[in-house]
Order: sequence, then C-alpha cells, then structure tokens
Amino acid sequence: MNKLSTFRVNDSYKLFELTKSLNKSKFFKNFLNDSQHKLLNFIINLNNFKIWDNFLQGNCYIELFKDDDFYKLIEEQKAKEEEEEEKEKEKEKEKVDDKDKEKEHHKDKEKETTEEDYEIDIEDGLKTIKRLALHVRYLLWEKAIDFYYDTKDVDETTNTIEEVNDDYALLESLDNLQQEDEDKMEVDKEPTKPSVRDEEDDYDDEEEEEESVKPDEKIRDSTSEDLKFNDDNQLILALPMSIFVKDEDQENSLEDQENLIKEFNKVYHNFEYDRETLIKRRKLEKSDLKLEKNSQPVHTNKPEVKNTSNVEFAFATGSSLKHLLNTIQSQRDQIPLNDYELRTLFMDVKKNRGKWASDERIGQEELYDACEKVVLELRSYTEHSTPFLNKVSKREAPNYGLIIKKPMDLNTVMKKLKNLQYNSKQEFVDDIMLIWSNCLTYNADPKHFLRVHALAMQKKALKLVPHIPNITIKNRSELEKEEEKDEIDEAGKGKSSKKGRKRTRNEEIKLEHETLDSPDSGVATPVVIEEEKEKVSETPIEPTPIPDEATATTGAANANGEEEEEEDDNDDENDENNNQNEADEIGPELQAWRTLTAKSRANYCAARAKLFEDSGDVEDLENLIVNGNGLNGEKSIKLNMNAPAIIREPSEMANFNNYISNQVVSKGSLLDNDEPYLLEYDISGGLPGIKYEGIDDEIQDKQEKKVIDSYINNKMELSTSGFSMSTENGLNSIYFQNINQMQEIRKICFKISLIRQMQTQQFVHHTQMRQPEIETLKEIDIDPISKLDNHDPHNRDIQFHVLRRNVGKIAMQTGFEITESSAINTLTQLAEKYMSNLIKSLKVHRESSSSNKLGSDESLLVTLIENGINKPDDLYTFINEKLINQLTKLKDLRLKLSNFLKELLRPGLENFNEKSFNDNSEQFMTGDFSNDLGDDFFGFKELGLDKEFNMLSSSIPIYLLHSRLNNSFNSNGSTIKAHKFDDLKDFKVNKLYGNDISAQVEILKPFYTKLLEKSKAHFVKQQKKNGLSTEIPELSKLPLIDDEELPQKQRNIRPRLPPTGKITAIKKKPLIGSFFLEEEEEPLPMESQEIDADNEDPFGINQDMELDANEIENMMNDME
Amino acid sequence: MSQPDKYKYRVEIQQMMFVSGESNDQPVETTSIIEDIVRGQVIDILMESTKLAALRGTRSIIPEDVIFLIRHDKAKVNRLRTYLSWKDVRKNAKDQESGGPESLIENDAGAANGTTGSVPGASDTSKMLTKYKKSKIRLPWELQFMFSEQHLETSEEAEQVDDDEKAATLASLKRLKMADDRTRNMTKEEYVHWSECRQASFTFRKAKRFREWAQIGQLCESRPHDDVIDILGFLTFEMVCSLTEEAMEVKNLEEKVFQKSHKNIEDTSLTRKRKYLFDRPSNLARPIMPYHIEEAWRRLQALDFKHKALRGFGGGRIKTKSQLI
Repeated sequence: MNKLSTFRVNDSYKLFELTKSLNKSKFFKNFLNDSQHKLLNFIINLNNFKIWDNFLQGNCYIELFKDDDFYKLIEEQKAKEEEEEEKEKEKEKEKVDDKDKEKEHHKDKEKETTEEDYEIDIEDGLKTIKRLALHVRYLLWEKAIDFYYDTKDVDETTNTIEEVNDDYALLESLDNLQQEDEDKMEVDKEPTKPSVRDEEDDYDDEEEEEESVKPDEKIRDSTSEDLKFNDDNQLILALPMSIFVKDEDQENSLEDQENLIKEFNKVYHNFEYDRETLIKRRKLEKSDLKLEKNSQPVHTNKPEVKNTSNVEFAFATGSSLKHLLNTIQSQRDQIPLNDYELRTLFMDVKKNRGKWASDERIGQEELYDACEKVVLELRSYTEHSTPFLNKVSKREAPNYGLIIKKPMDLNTVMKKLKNLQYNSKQEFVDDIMLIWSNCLTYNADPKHFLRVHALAMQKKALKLVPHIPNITIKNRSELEKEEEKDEIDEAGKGKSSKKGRKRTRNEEIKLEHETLDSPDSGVATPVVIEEEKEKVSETPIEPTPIPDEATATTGAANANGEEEEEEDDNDDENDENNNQNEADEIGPELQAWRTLTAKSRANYCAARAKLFEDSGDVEDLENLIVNGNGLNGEKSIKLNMNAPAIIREPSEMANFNNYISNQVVSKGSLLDNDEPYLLEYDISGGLPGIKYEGIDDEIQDKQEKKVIDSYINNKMELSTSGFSMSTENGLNSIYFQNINQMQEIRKICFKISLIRQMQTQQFVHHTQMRQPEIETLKEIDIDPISKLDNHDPHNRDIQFHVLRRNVGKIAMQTGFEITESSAINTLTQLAEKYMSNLIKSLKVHRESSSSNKLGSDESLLVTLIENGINKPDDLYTFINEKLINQLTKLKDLRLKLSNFLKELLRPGLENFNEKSFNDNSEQFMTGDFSNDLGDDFFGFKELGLDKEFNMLSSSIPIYLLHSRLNNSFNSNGSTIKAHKFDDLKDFKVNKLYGNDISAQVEILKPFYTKLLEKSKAHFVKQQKKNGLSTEIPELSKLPLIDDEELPQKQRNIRPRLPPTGKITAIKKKPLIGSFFLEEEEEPLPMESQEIDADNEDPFGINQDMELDANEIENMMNDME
Repeated sequence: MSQPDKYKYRVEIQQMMFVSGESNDQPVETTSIIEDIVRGQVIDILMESTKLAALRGTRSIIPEDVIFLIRHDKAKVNRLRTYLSWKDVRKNAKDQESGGPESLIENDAGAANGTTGSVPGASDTSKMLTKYKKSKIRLPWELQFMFSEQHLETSEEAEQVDDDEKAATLASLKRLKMADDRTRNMTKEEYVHWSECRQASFTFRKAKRFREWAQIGQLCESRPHDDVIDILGFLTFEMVCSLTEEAMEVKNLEEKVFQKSHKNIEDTSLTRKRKYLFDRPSNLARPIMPYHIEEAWRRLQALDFKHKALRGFGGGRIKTKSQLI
C-alpha cells in the first residue's frame, strides 16, 4: 500500500519520474493522439520539473510559434512530395493529358491540407494543455489501480500478466527512488519556488537543454530560470511547431491497435454515442446495399464473390472456405489457437486463392486485396466516413458540379475495384485522395464540420496507404499480343462510348468515362472478352459522381432512403459538429474503441431495437431512434412479444471468459471484420453464464456401461438407489407390514362375503366368485438412467415422486384401497408445503439475529410446536398408536376373521341332525358333489380355499349344503345317483333257466313255472318281432325273464317310498278313479311296504339289493 | 332481557359449576353467559352433525354424527362411550325387570355362576356388566370397520379391555378421586346436595325443554335420535365443567396478580385484626364473574398451532370456526 502513496499525496516529482520511464516504453503513444503525444514528449524532454508540475496542474498556456526546424521539415516534405509528383507526372505524361491536370490539381489540394492539418490539431491556449494534463493524470492513476489490484492478487493467483508486470517494476522502482530523493526533494523544492521569475528566454536554449540531458540537480537549477508566466500566473509554454512535424517512423498500427485493445476493458464505456453510431452504420449498410445492387450484374461472371451486403468474409474465398470458417467459428471454444494465430493462418490460406485471383492479370490479387481492405477500413471508420460513402447529391449541394469537376466517393471506389478498373496502386490512391480533397475544396470555410471529417479520413487513409503494395498490374500476354491489344482497344472504346451515350445526358460525363475507361482497357484488360468489357464500361456510368437525375436508375427506394439521409444529415449536423469537437478531445484510445466497435455496437443496438414494436423497418428504426428520444411519448414504445430474444452465444461466452481473464479482447472471433466482444453490451450485463456442461454423449455412454457392468456382476440385479428404495429404514417396513396385513384381511373379507352371498342367493355368477386382484406392494426404483452419476439425484421431479409414493403408502395404510392420482398429488403438495414450512421455521430460528438466540434443541422444539406438534412425545405416540398398535390390531383382526371364515365353512353341529340324511345321499357326509361334474366346479380352488383349509378340495362345506341344498332335495326327491362303494363287491345274480326250476325250493316252483310260461311267450314275441324263428329253444337255454325285462304292463307294480318316508302319493289318489279291494287284502301290502321302508338301509341301498327285495315282495304276493 | 324466559338452565348450571369446584353463589350474569355459550355450542354441534348426516344421505342425526365431531378428543369420546354403554345397560335392565321368566332364568344362571356373589344385587350387577360388555359401542371409524366384513364377536373377546378404555377409566378414576376429595368432609346434607348436583343435566327428563331451548325443531329436519339428545346432555355438562374450571383458573391467576401488586395494602389489612359486623366479606368469597367466563372462553377458543401449521409462511387470514369445548 505504501507504494501507492505517491498517488495518494499527488507527488508530482515521482509522477514525473514515472511518466518519463513510461514514455521510454512508448506507453503514451497508444493513448494520446499524435499531437498530444508529441506535446507530452516535448514537455518530458524539457525535463523541467517546474514545467511538469505546472503542466500537471493544468496551469500552462501554449504558444505556438514556427521555428526554422519546422519550416525546414516542411520544405523537406514538400520536396519529397514534389519529387513523387514529378515521378508520377512522368508516368502520367505517357497517359492522357486531361488526367495529368486533374492530378496536379489534386496534389495542390493535398499540400494545402497537410499544412492545415498541423494547424488544426493544436491550438494556442489553455484548453488543450488542460485536457492533456487530465488525460495524463488519468493514465498514470490508472496504472496505480492496476498495481493495487495486482499486488492484492499476487498472493492468491500466480498467473499475472507479464505486460502489466513491467509497470509494477516501475512503480516499485519509484519507491526506491522516493527514498533516495526524499531529502533532496525537501531541500530543493524550497529554493526553486522563489526563484521563479518572469524572464524572457531564448527558445533555442530549451532545445539545447533538451539535447544535453544532465543529472537532475542541474536541470532543476537551470529550469528555475527558464520559466515564463503570463498575467494569470500561468506558465507559458512555448512550443516550436517543429515538434509536430510528422515523423516517418510511426504507424506500426497493428501492434498499436493490439495494445489499445488490451486497454479497452479498463474503461467502462457508456452508451451515449450509440445513436450516432447506429445511424451512421445504417447509412453504411445502405450504401453497401446500393453498391451491391449496382454491381451485381457485373458479378455474374465471378461466382466467388459473396452476394450479401455484409462483407464480413469478403476476402474469404469460395464457399468451401466459408464453410470451414463457419464450422470453426461454431466450435471456436475447442480450438486451442488464439484469434491472432487463427487469423494469420487464414491469411496464409487466403493468399492462395483470393477472390481477386486472376490468372490473366498478374499482381491483381495482391493489389486488390490490399485496396479492398483499405476501402473497407475507411468505410467502417464510421466516425468520419459517413459523408463520403455516397456521391454528393444535387439536392445536398446544388452547385457541387460546378466546383468539383471530378466527384468521387468510397462506394464508387469500391465499385471500380470490383469492376477491376484499377491497374496500379497510384490510381487507387489518387481516387481515395480525391474524395477528401474534393470535400476540402468545396467546403472552403475552415470552420465547416465536414472538413474535420475529411481531414480525419485523410489521415486515416494516409496511414493505410503505405500498406498497399506498389504493384502495377500487368497482363501476362501483354508483350506477346501487343498488336492485337490495340485493335481490341479501339473496338472497346467505340463500344463503350456508344453505351455511354445511350445512358448519359451530358457530354462531360461521357468524356470522363472514356478517360476512366481508356487507361483501364489500355493497360490492364486487353484480353478480356468483349462481353465483359461491355459490362465493365457499362457500370461506371451509373454511379456518375455528378449529382444529376441519373440516380433514377437506382430505384425509388434508394431515392427515398437518400432523402431521408439528407434530412438526417441536416438534423444531425449540429450534433455531429458537437461530437466532432468532442471527438478531438477524447483520446485515441476511446477513438479506437469507437471505431473498432462501431459495427458491433450498431448491431447490438439494432438487435435491441428489434425488441420493440414498430421497428421492423430500418427507416422506422431510425425514426424511432432519432425522434423517439426527442419527442417523448409521441410514439409509445412497446415491447414486441414475438421478437427473438437476444441471447449470449457460446462463442461470446468464450470471449467473456477471455475478457475476464484480462486477455486480449478477441477483436472479432476470427477475422478483422468481425465484431469484437463488448462487455458493456453483453446481454447478461457481464455476469458469467451458468456453467452447465450438459450431458455429454461420451460420459453418458461411459456411465451406461458402468451400470451394465454392475448389472452383470451383481447377478442381474441392478444396484438400488438408496433414497428411493428405503424399504428397511424408518417406518417403511412397518407401513409395509400394515398394508400387507390389510390386503390379507381384505382377501378374507371377500371370501366371507362370497359365502354370505351363496347362502342368500340362488345363483352365484362365476364372475362374482372371482377375487378382486390385490397387488402386493412393490417398491419400484427409479429408472437406471436416472441413477447414473451424471444425473442429479436431487432432481425436483424425482424427489416429488418419492414423496408422492410415500404419501400414497400412508393413504393406503390409513385404509384407502385405491386413490385418485390427483388426490395423492394434492396430498403430496400439502406434505411438501408442510415440510418446507418446518424447515423454514427452523431456519428462521437458527438464523435469527435476535440476541436471545435459541439453542439447537430449543429451536427444534419451538419449530415443532409452531407446526402443530406440541411435544416430541406426540410423534412417538403417533407412531406407537397409528403404526405399531395398528399392526398388532390388524394381525389380531386377521386372525379373528380367518377363524370366522373357518367357522363359516365348518358344519355347525347344532343344526345338523338325522333329517339331513333322509334322502339317501352320502354326499352329505362328504360334501363331494362335484366329483362327477368335473374338477373345481364351485371354484373353490380358484378362491384358494383348498390351500387355506386342507379339508376342502372339490366338495361343498356341509354347513352351506345344509342351508341351501336341503330344500332343493326335499322338493325334487332323490335324484342323486347311488354311489358304488369299492369295498362292496358287485353282487351278481345268476340267471335262471327253464331247467333250473326243478332245483328251486318247492314253494317257489309254481312261481317259476309261471314265469317260465311268461318268458316263453315273451321270447316268442321277441323272436317274432325280430323276424326270427318262433321255435322255443331248450329249456336249459331259455332264460327266465326278470321283472325289469318285462314290458311295462306286465311288470309287478310296486309302490315306491319317497325319501321322506311318508306315503303321500297314494293318499292323494282321487277317490272316484279308485276301486276298493276287499278289506282283508288291502292292508297287507301296506304293511309289507311299511316293513320294507323300515328295513331300508338308511345309508342307501344298491339296486341289486333292491331287486332282491322286489322278488321277495313278489313272492309274498304270490303266496297270498 | 326482553325475554324473561330466555335462560332456562340457571339452576342446572349452578349445580354443574358446584360440581366442578365453584362453591360460591354465582351472579345471574355468569350463568347466563355460560348458558349462552353452551347453547351456541349445542347449535353448532347440531348444525355440523346435520351436515354430516346429509353427507351420509340421511336426514336424522345419529349418535355417530355427534361423536364424529369430537372424535379428536379421545378422552371425551371414551367417557361418552362409557356413558352411553351404561345408559344402555340401564335401559336393558329396566326391560329385563319388566320382562318375563326368561330373564329370571338368566338371573338364576347368573346367580349360580357368581360363586362369590352372595348378595343377589351383586349377581345382578355382574349380569349387567356382561350385558354392558355386549353393548359396547363401536364407532364406525374404528379399524375393524375399515373392512367390508366383520367377525362375530365372541364373549371372551368382548371382555378384553381396550387401551383407550384403560385411558378413559384412568381419567374417570382421577375425576372420582377429585370428587372423593371434595366430598370427604361433607356433612350428610351437603353430600345429598352434592349428589343431587351431580345428576344435574340439561336433558335428563327435560328433553322437551332442551329441544325448545336449543331450537332443535328449527335446526333439524327430523327429530334426532334419543341417544343424540342424551349425548348432547353429556356434552353440555362437560362444557359447563370445562368452562368453570378454566374460569376458576383465570380467577386464581387474577387473584395472584392482584396479591402481588397489592402486597402492601394486604399487609396493612392484615395488621387490622379486628373484624366488624358490616365488613366486606373476606377475599375468598369471590364468585366467578362473567369476564372470567369470557376469558376462559377465549382461552378455550384460542387457535393452537396445529390448526395453522399448514398455513405457515403462506400469509392470509385463517378462517376459524368456534371449537367445541
């Protein structure tokens, strides 16, 4: 910090030292304009501390005087120029005489201007020196700022910039100097002051001193005598003019520019000059457009030339190269080269195949490249170039044509370039210089604002001209075909003049054009095809520099544009005047900044203006800008909703980073014509962009591979992401158990309700028996892609869904089987809100600035209370009651319900009495009804009953049967088929034959003989029926027929007993249709039947046994 | 008071207040304000439960609707349950008394079972207890009703005591203990008065008056269930008790503050030992004044954090209904 005390105390001596050393390193050259620099140089070279002090205080009065040196130098220069002129004249003498005259005239002008130039730059008086002093001060203090910040940073960062480091060395050395000189200073200062006298002095002395630079002390002594003050106690600084004489060694402009650019970011530029810039820029573009329109037909034979008005890559040749440029630009970030390297690289490439490349015309490419660059440079120097872009219109200057014989403007030059009308550097330079001299001659008034522009442009042009290689284009086949050339030349002349006549009205112009054309065709393009020539000669007519009605050809639109331009010009004249004055005041640094950034600033402004409504048109835009500021509210400016947003592009981002790291602001991402990056105009106001890498394909692939690997390694089980699969942690497992229990209970409930249904309803549709599907809860992890490392696990969506799922679980646990997703979403949002409230209130307590700050425990408790939890115990009781107790309750309930179900399925013994067996059915015992019907007729298996209770397979529980089936059996009688038990052997009765009768018991013999008769008759009948012989076979072969085989009528009718055992059918016989037997006979069969019934096996009798019983019956009947 | 008969329950309220600890004679204003509050609460309950009934799709209020309104106050719900079941028991017992020989047989069986019960009264109570167990009140939001089917309760199951019930009994035991403490030093007459007061009710044998008082006819479309009226009687009792208790707390606090601030005066008054006939009554004999009740009501109505937790950081006004006490 102490090192900066120089600046704090405003120690002018040390500042002087610093300035000297800085001047040695040519530091000021970049920041001061020429004359200023020279002035400063002069002051420094005086090496007079007193003068310096006064200078720094702004207490100087400048007196200019012309000394011998000045004149000498001027003379020398003139001589030089004259020499050149003579040379040129010699050249030109070979050509047409008219042109020579023109040239001479032009040269005279030039001389004048050069002299004027020196006069204008520095005026006598106080103002200039004050301004300069301020500027120098600013520059010096700026150094201090740099130094200050860097010493701060040195500890932290190692990458300091070398360029700046030099200055630190200076500053540090200043410190040492300080210590050395301290005592001296104190001693010396006092005597110097009183010794100031008003004394006339020879200026030559000063110069002598300047040459004899001696130790400090001496100088100080001497200086005290030399000073001269005026009435206002201002130091009079006499300046010899000679110092302003141009030194030839200057202008290594590129480097200068680089240096200037480096300094750009040290100043915050404001937008106040934007309007002006934009308007000028518009004009330039418009003239570009015009130029393009006019020259387009010419370009048809030159396909390489870019057709857009934007000449960004004008010298980038061919579409392929353009493409390359585009790709490079789009991937600028990945190219390790810096802009300068790239640019040079492109220069190399470009040289090989320029747009001006021509096999026929040797040297054309180099020359035209350079010339075009110069023209573009001049054009883009919008600060001053605007008045010279287009030819002067008649309206602007009605008498222009009278004064200026040969008008010229930048666009015409450009056109001529494109038409290949220049054959040497000299021609080109002459045209350029003609523009300025025209202006200067026309506007003779030295105060005219255009003169300033013209002079500035002239200066610029002079700076640029030396870069053009001095080449005269020669035709390759020139020597060989000289004779041919002449012929074609003449022909060309004739044709072109014809064309010219057609187009133009006055002779003068025509003549001019012929003069213009003739050298062109004479020297340069003898072999060019005739058609081409026609075109060449055709085009220059249009842009005839004389402001006449010929402009009609350019179309109404352009005319309108011009008019407006003129108006604008008038409007802006005053402004420009002012600005111009200011422009002189500002240093070259700002000047350079303005020039360099003019285009991009204009673009930025245009882009911004497009954001507003009614600004689609350029004219409108201009009006808006011109008028909108002045007439507030007349045109309401509205935001255009559909306008494209201004976005900082990635390339700009790179520029931004460069900018921040204090590197050279890339002046154009690749090439000179591109726009520099301007922090002040950056859409995000100089804030760095958010660093988001995005998902790179490569990384994605890598991650996916990893997942697959782990998938394979873990035996096809994907690794689980912790937070979304927290099945084991916290209350999750309890919730799971609860939900599982509830689902089980629901299943049981369904079974119970099904059984209830079966009890009450006659029919149960099979769909009713289908159990509703209850899915067991499964935790689904987030998709594997989202689990990749490069995905944010705390993504809001994921988090929300995790919460949502948990809320869903809680809802299920509370008893909802199914929930609407919208309901759950709402609940989740509420939960989210509540949780965030919790956190917020905790945060409030933790971060409160209260002196009575709560401890961590207390603040947690307070937070809980504020959010409705009176004490932490509440949470415990909640968990205990709602979850753990519920689990036990649910388990209990499940047990009870399943017991209840079992009970339902088990026969209730109290309702099960003997009556249940009255219908001979042993199925009642087993419940095995469905064996014959097929497997699982009742769907019990489907219900899972068989698994649950082993007893059930395909049989119906008796309990159910009792209530339901009993009725149906009662009404229908026994329709149930008898079942054959395996253990009971099938008893077969042997068939009796006719001869067996004798072997029967005596008592049965009559019965059997009767039966034999019957069977004989039956047999005969049967045989007859079948058409067989009616012969009765042997008795031994004749089977006695059984009752069943008899036809229905012959059978013994035996009343059957219904399963109920009550003889109802007989009783119900109508009395009328019955006849009564004798009373004795009647009861017997009844008795026997009753006995029969009594004897009947209660568990069912098989048919064979039944048959036996019948026989016995019959026998008994017979007996009776 | 334009309507002289607007306040109909002065006596009952006084009795209830006496039961809950206030021994002094209250001014009419106090009982009136209590009555107003209670009536407002009853009307609230009726309105809300009518809404609930409408949600169920019926017009008449059933007990569950009312209980649902106070479901969060578990202790109260449990007390109410016990109250209801005992009421049930009483009713059943009455039926049985008038019933035929069947009940007698059961009575015998009960006597036979009760080995220790030498007195027939004891056997009777045990029988009543079993009955009471059977008529245990189940609320529809209990866990078992979450499912479509319910199991049949076996007798031994019914005998299991719930945790809730345990808590309820604990609370009631506490109250009984308090009552015991209060009655310990009472004379016979005082005790009779006390027990009379304990039976004070807004509804018991005054159903018609209650209906008119609470404007049930206007509020409900159909006559509410008798049980509902009984529940309301129970709840009104509770309301008066809680109001009184809170008001007494308020009063005590006020007295404490007063003593603190007037300590010096107190001292001087203490020094004056002599008492005269026409002195003011001592400090103790300060009844509950209406503003005590108001403060108590305010305290009971104070919104706790639970109800505004979700609105935290959200801003806006929180709509409040009067809470049931």
